[in-house]
Order: sequence, then C-alpha cells, then structure tokens
Amino acid sequence: MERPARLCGLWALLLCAGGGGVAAPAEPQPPVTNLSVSVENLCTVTWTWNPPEGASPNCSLKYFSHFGNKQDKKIAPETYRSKEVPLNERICLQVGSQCSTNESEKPSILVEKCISPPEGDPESAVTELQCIWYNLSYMKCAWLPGRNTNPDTNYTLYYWHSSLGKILQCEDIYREGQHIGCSFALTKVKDSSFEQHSVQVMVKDNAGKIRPSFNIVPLTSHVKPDPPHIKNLSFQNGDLYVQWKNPQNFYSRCLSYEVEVNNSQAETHDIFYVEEAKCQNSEFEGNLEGTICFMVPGVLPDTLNTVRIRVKTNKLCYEDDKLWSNWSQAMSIGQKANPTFYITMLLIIPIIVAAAIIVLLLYLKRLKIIIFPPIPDPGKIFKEMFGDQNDDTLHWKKYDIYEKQTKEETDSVVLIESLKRASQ
Amino acid sequence: MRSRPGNMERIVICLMVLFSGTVAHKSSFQGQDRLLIRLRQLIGIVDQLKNYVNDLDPEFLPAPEDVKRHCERSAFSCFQKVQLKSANTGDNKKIISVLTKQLKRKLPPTNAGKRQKHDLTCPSCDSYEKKPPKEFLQRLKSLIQKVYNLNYI
Repeated sequence: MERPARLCGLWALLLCAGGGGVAAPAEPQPPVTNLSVSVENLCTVTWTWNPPEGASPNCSLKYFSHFGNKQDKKIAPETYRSKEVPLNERICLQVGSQCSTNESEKPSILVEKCISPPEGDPESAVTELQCIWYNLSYMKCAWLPGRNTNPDTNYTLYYWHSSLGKILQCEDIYREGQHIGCSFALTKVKDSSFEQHSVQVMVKDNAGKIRPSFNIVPLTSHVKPDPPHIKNLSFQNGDLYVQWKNPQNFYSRCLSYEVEVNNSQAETHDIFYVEEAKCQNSEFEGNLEGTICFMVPGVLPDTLNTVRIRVKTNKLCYEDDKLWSNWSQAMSIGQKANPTFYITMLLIIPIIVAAAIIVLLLYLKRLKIIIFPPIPDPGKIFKEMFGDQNDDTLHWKKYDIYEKQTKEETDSVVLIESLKRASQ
Repeated sequence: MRSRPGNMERIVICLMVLFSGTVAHKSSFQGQDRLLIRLRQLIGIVDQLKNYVNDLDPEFLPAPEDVKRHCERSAFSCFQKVQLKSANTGDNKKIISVLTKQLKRKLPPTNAGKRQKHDLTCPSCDSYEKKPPKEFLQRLKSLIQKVYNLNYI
C-alpha cells in the first residue's frame, strides 16, 4: 500500500518540475529602453519604447503598462501604447517587460515617462469647458475665461475627430453673458468603416498667453435632440390621443418622452414620462408616417387642454440620458374659452343701453319727467303754505297738474230793453 | 374545359406567392422586434452584473472595442464565449451564474443579420484587447447600445 503512494508522490514531483521547466523563467526581464512620448492630433498621446536589451531568448516579449495609481493595466506585445487624454494635467505611463500575458507574473523594473500640459499658468486656462451635440448636427462648446486674464482676449477653439484629416478651427464664436462659446458642424458619418468615437477640443487664445485647455467629448453622450412636432390631438372613448413626430436623426426606440398636459379650467398640470410609444394603426384615422402616439388618461373633453412634449436620449442607445430637448410647440384641444369674445360683449352691451337711454330721453318728455322729476323747491312751498291764507283755492290749483285750465269765453251782451226803446 | 384546370393552378400559385410574401414581410418585422427586445433585456442583465463586479474573478477577458461595421454579431459572440467566473465568495455566486447564462443565449436572427459577414472576415476573438471585468462589462454595454442604434443589424 505504500508503493502506490510513493509512486504518486514521485509523479507529482516530476510533474511539478516539468511544469516549472515549461513555465516562463522565474527571473524578471531587463527593463525596456528608449521610452518616449509624443502627441498626435490634439489629445492623442502615444508612448513608444524599444525592446529590452539582453532578454532571455526563450521569452516572447510582452509589455506590461499602467498609468499612475495602477490604472488601466494592459499586457500586450506591441511596443507602443496610445490613449486619448485631455492634457490639462500631468500624466505618466509606467512600462515593464515580461514573458507571458499572465497577470500574476512579475514584470521587469518599470520605466516611467510623463507628459506635462502645455506651457502657461494653470490659472489662466479657461474653465468649465463643456460641449453639447445638438440634434446630431452641430456641436456647441462654451467656457468661462480663466482668472487673471484680460477681458479682451480673443479665444480660438480647435477640434478634431477621426473622420477629419486635420485639426480644424471653429469660426462661429459667440458670447453669452459671461460664457464664451463656439459652434461647429458635426454629423455622424455613416458610410465610413470607422465611426467617430469622440471629439477632441482645445481652447486657446490668439496671443498665446494663456495655457490651452482640453476636453474630450464622447459622441455617445451630451446629445440634445431638437424638440418634436405635435401632429394631431384627438379624443376617442374619453381618452386623449396625442400623435407627434420625433426629430430627425433619431430612432424612436432611442428616445424617452415627457408629455405635459395643462388644463386651464381645472388648473391641473400633469406630466407623463413615457419610455416607449408606438402608434397602433387601428386606433388612428389617417395614421401619419413616422409618428409616435401616446394616450393620456383622465382628460376632461369639454375643457381646454394644452399639450407639450419634449424628448431625451435614453440609455438603450446612448451613454447618458440627462439632456432634455426644448419643449415642442403647444397644441390645444377642447372648447376655446375665447376671452376677446367676452370682453367685446361686456363693452358693447352697456354702450347700446346707454345710447338707447339718451335717445329716449331726448324724444320722450314724459319719460323724461318720470326719470327726472322736477325737483321741488321747499322754500316756495312753505311760503305759499303759510303766506297768503286769503287766497282762494284757485291758487293751489296750479300745482295740480291734472287740472285742466279752462279758457274764459267772452261774448258781447246786448240788452233787450234798449232794443225795445229803440223800436217805440 | 381543358384550360380551366390550368387557370385554377395559376390562381393557386399566385395566391400562394402573395400569402408567402405577406408572411415573410411580417416575419422580418417580428425578427427585428425580437432582437430589439432581447437587446433591451441584455442591457438590463449587464447593468445587474455591474453591481456584482467586485465578486467576479479579476481575470483579464477579451473585450472588443471599436468594432468594425458588420462585425457586431461576431464581436458579441466573443463576449458570450467568455467564462465569467465569480470569485470565491459564495453569496452572489448563484445570481452571477444565472445572469451569465442569460448572456449566453443566442441572439435572434434577422434578415439583415443573416447577411452579415461571417467570422471569416471579422477579427478573431483572441485578437481583441483583454480587459478586467469592469471594463469588459462597460465595453459589452457600449456594443449593445451601438447595435440597438443601428439600422442594418
């Protein structure tokens, strides 16, 4: 029973020794030589080195490299390493050689090479350099001037991406309050075999006094779409159906939506967040091509409802989903509470009534006396009351408007006696 | 009387052609819809795996980046071939294995996808750079996002 155990032990030893022999030499290799660094385009930094002298002949050289703080470790047979990095700070690469792609193997002594930002006072560099890609058509970058800089400084923005052959200068500079910005055309080149991944941007001044500032903008984020267009609003079965068209250059599946419904009467303000929206053909008459639909529940059809929509990129197609587009043009449905109509009615009716009254007053005296009775004079009344009491009652009759004043008739009276005498 | 059977045959053939045409049209849409649904699920799976990245074995894995046009399916299969192992801590081992299983499901075929260049002209999986699990998952997510935004997949 001991022999099999001893044999196993011997086998194990042999295997280990054999394995050790096949494995890479345990001693580390000599360090790499001629480590140098260069910058291409605006922010593409390339470190190159030569293989070490005096390496073991059995060794198929691989190179282990990492940046400061042991970030981005890489083991590869190439004698160069390239990285897109904004040169706003110093960056260093450490390189060592080893014989396999095994991470646990100890590499040679690491050689380091650093690259510093361009010349200039760090305080003078522009700050808050941010870029936004509008509707996949043009990019706008904006920044704040650095401290201790002349307010009259003329800035220039340079940009580069992999579809361009050379670094271009941005022409369209503008000022917006404290911020300065520049806008340049940028579209996705669909037919090339290489897609642009990011845009490298540099801002410096024409006089060369400030330190240049860099930014690398990935093209899968910082995208702000244009606002959508609402095409149709309709009520069906008590629900409000909204139909709109998304901005061009975007697939509907790559956008998230927000629908805002304002009801002026009930003074409600509802916002609906929509992830997916599609149009079902059967529910819409005259379905427009390329439109998106959404059903808003709980809307009162007899009141005025105003609808607005905005969109943003979602995380299914893009890296971030933080930039909302502007709100679309509002569209309304429901009874129009037309304020001008009410105002005109309120003004016209009193005017007509007033005119009618004036006309009537002028032409109907009776109406006038009813509306404007003669103001009694108390002095006169009392005087006549307590004054001549001998006056006969005829005096009072003149206050009685209903008394008809009879006319005195006078006829000549001829005496008959005198007539008789005349005849004898 | 002799021409009638001939006419009937022609009518039947025409109807079959029309029918197969409508069915084929429908199925192409379905194929793309199924693919989009699967891609959406995959992004969710990758997001969940990202939560467990510290429990994964820190081995370097081939992680395609900057994939050539029309090689996206082949690059995705390279991601799938990888053995995502969990490290020794047993708590999340089960969840990780369930998620990795879902990752390895074959992508639904589409008409456009069938026309994609096969693995012969696309780079082999070994030629891609190897990265630790965190970057592996990030690159996988970027590839899925890129494919979701394509019109020819």
